[in-house]
Amino acid sequence: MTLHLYAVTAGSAGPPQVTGIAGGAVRSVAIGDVSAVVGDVGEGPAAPTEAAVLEHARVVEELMGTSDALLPARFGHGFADEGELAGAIAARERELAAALQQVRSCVELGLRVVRRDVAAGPASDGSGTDYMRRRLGSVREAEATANEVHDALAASARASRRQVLATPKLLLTGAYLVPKQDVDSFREGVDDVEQRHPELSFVCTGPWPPYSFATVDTDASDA
Amino acid sequence: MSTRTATLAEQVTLIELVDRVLNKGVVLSGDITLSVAGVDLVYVGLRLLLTSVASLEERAAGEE
Repeated sequence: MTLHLYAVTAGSAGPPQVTGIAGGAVRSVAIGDVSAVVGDVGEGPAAPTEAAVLEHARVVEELMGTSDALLPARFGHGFADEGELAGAIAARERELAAALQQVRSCVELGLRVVRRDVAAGPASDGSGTDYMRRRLGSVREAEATANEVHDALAASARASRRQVLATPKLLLTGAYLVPKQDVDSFREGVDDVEQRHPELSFVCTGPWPPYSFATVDTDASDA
Repeated sequence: MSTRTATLAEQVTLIELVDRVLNKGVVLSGDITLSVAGVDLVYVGLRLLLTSVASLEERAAGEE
């Protein structure tokens, strides 16, 4: 049997009242100051089918209802047994404790900001140099707008992540760690910023479990 | 309009969800073993969704 990891929680949680991938049992294993929420998934790591991915997300979502500090696991952890799991947790004990402290009582809100005004292709007039110069200018302008939008929202979040211009249309992909009781006021902040930018479309999603703030193996700076 | 908006919101939510589960979240060991083929399958479905979201966005913008 392989152990599939759903999440890491602070303290020793009671037995989770949820059903796992493919109807499997879910249990909480206390390791030091944290607990790992795992389930058996047969031989080898769980296959990343769309159904399994959605079930993993559902389990994490349900755990959020009973745990105040939880780090969702990226899909695909397969541990041979509890010993291997305990070793992996112990190796990152300090980082996990710090990440759990940061996300406590918080949820994640997602934001995608799409440009409505992106030109379909290069203008026909002018030299290649002119075109490149205009294009560079427009990219810099877009980056400045993306950073302004992000900074305005990040100011009222406990932590944030940004990706600017993932595609020419997708100006900003943001994630914001917000205390649960501040979700409504954060959304109002998004509405305010949106009204200042009629040239942009805003899509705010969530609240999510804090997936974007559960990374412990890299530094915590903006991506 | 409201029906289309709901559909768009649902699609965006699904994309956001799958992106988080597969690309974010805590990683405890270096040997996180996803079958590449399986991930590709999930992403093929996502690309279809993204394409339809992009075309909806364009249609919405064109109608204004």
